[in-house]
Amino acid sequence: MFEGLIGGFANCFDPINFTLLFLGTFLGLLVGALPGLSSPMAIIILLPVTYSLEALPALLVMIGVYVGTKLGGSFSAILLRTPGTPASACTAIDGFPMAENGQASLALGYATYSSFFGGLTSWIIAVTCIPIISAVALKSSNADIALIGIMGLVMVSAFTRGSMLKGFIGVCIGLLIGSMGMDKSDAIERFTFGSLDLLTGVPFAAALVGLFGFSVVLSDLSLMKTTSQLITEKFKIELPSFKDFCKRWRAWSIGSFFGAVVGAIPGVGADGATWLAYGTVKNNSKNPEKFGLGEPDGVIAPETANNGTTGGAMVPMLTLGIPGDASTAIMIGALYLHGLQPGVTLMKTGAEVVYGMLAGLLLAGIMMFVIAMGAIRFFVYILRQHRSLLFPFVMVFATLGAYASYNEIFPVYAAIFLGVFGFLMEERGFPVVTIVLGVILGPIIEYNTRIALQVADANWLTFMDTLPRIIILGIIIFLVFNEIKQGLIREKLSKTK
Amino acid sequence: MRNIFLSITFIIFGFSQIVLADYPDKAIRIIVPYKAGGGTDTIARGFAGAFSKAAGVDVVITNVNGGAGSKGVIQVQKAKADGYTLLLTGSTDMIGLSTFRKMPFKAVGSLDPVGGIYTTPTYILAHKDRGYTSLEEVIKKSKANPGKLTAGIGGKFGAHDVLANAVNGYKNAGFRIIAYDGGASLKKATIANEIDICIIHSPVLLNEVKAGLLNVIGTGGSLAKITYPKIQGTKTLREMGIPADVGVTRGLWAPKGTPKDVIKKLEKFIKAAATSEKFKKFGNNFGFGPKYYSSKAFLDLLNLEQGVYTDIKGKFMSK
Amino acid sequence: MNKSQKIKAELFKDIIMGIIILSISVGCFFTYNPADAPLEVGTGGMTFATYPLAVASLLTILGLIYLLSSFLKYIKNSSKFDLLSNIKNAVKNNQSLYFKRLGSVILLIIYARMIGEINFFISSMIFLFTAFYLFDRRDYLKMSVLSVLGSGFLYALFIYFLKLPI
Repeated sequence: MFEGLIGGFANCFDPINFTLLFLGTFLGLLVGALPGLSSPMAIIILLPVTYSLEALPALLVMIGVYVGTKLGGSFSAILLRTPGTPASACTAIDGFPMAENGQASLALGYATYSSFFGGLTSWIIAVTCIPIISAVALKSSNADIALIGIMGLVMVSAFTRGSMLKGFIGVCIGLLIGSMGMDKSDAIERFTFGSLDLLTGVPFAAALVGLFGFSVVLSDLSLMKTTSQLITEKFKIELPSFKDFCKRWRAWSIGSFFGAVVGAIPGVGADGATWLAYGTVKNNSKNPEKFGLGEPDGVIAPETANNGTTGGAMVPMLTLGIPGDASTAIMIGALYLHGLQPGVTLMKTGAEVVYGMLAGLLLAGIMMFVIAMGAIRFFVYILRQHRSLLFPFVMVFATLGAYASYNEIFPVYAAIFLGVFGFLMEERGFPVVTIVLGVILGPIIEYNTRIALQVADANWLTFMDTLPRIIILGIIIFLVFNEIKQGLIREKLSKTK
Repeated sequence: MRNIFLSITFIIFGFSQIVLADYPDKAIRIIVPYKAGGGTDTIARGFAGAFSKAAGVDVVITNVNGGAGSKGVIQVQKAKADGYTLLLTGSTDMIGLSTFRKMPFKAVGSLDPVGGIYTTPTYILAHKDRGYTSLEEVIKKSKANPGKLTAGIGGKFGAHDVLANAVNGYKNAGFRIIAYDGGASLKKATIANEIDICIIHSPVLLNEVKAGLLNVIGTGGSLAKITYPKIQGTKTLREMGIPADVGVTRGLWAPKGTPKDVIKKLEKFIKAAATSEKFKKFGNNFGFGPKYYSSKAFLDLLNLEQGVYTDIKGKFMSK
Repeated sequence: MNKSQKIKAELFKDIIMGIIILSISVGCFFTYNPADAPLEVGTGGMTFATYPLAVASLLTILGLIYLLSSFLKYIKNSSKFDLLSNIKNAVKNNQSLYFKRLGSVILLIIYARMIGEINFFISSMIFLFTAFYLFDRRDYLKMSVLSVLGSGFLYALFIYFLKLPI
């Protein structure tokens, strides 16, 4: 194992490989930062370009893009509240308020540190515990994923400031939006209103771009006269120091934990890990009321979890041929195209490529850190421009991001509609984040619950069959009681005011 | 007067020839109605390189997934019939969309098939820990405990669904059919030994079969050409008394109304690409050598497979 | 308008939102099966309708709670509330803002419609310039330069690099 890795690193330092890895990471950061464009999209574009390359350089480019987009998506989440990727949506909750408070560079800095740290820890865990991670990937089945999804949903009140009722209403609406279209198990249409366009439901990128991007533009138009810049005049480029980061160890250790554990479970991955990390950190924080208003821990936790899933997603891909998420699925296809055979024998037959990829994963994380730290000034400069200049560009990017999801116009209309709807809901105090949570987790929960029941022959006790499931169920019940208790306390407080 | 008329006619004719002779003069877009990284997508990308060389222009693969493959089909139906937008999907995937349920759009018959490039039968796998060595053995066990044994398929409407229902129907096997949301999920469930048998298009999971983790216990069509000699003689459904051939042939379709010479050129390119060394190399790495079907042969194949599907649907899948 | 009147106006908006939410949740029960598929399809104890209808029921309950609580608070509030004069005032005070919001949505719809019909470079240029104007910019030179450069960048990125079929 060790010698293999050394060989992998040696391969990565080959000038061509190194340059390609760097280019991939750079591109990933850039593409990820554009609202609506995701990592799979960027990798797919590069696939034909990589045909003329050998296997390892081709995959290194993809790994660079993969790692880069994870942080890049957070940049647009923080600066524009329009996340580049669904996993970055959670970062927007505290990242965007930080930017509005004049702490944009601080937020970006924390995001960069966290992403690097998350990637590093997940890498160390990945290479040292390959058998354990493979086992987690293999043994976790649909019932576990469904329970994890429900756990994420129950944490919803972690994201609501104020009324828990409004939070749950938002989640329900999100769940309903996510269930539009043909259902995954029986392929029967639901809520399609007879429209062919809605046959496959509301595309995910459209929901994200509409609920976050367009609704932000609509609501922040009210600020156009009062403050002339997105950040106040008194701003300066203030990057967090390494010590500052270390002080917040609770946030990043919880984030890494969720990233490593949940990341290995195919099908949940980064989308679930970030929300769980955020919710847990908030619930265990000394000042939970600060979350949602610009609390750095609220950026660190999801960011660490986000990049913390990379190791966990790549190991099952390399050892079992099972993709952890959409980007690793494309990498599997690329392995075939380059003459390799992903699956249980890849570690032996394609050892050089496998170790090269693992080494590349770590190097990409380092490159991402260096590039991002340098690029923060550039991004903040863009942000200093007047809203009247920025918003039209945000609108165009969001439109094209929605278009690119299905290469047709309908998602754009869906995004516009959801943008107006999300704006109206936010005006009434319903946090849009809960709707997005419902849209993300709803399909995962429904599909996995149904498959779990089908495998267990309609026996609902399957959700208590193994120890991990009992533990998760216990956590869910604990959380539910905790939320009710907190809700009652909040009611009491608001009554006494 | 007559001279002027003749000259104008010649000019128009000549001009139209020039215009038509220019196909293709920009990138051709191939729409794959499944996720990137999946079986059809990988084959499409393996094919794209050879096809691009034969056609002399860039080939762009666009994934438009959703609705068991319907979204991509609908998009190609709406596209301009100029030969620059094509659909690449499996024969039985298209047939499935037309056969099993009343869909709000037409699949087969709504596009013109221009050629087939890769044929694979659908085979049946079981995890080695289950100890099954043949399909008959599993069917016997399932008959004794109807509804207890699980058969995983990769999605509704396709060849997997038909094979499962054929086995259940003709042999009264009583399998519980579980439809996963795609090949990747089904792969994972199979490797993790969560289901009794797995019905999937060969050569997916061939790697695991070679490693001894999975056993091939039956197949919907001959495996004689697969690149792993040990399983080339696997008993087919017909040899077990089930009158069905189940497999999938990936091919290309063009929107209806595409000019005849464009179609002719496309057929030429597809033939050159499907028989090229590059695609052969890819195919052998993937698990099967490629097989080329002309548009007529592909149409005949589609009709044949449609017959099988309608028959099985009528007999066992009336819902 | 004094504070109590403002609160009453907000509560009125809450009631409207409550009605919207309830219409969504009740509407689900009528639109969940547009293809009239039989409910027995599906195995394992759940049908295709179980999950959406369960969520719709939950939403109905929550929506009712929200609507009723807003309604009760509205009735308890002793100020007068005149809908028409409220709307007139709101429009008068926020004319520019409402215009910008409505304009943005309309502009987006037009832009979406134009994609594919008109050359992307031109439509993006028109969109950017019009949006700048809508957001009260009047420095025409800067607006024009940015529109052209911006569209150029977008063209290069989305059409050339990402190869979107626009």
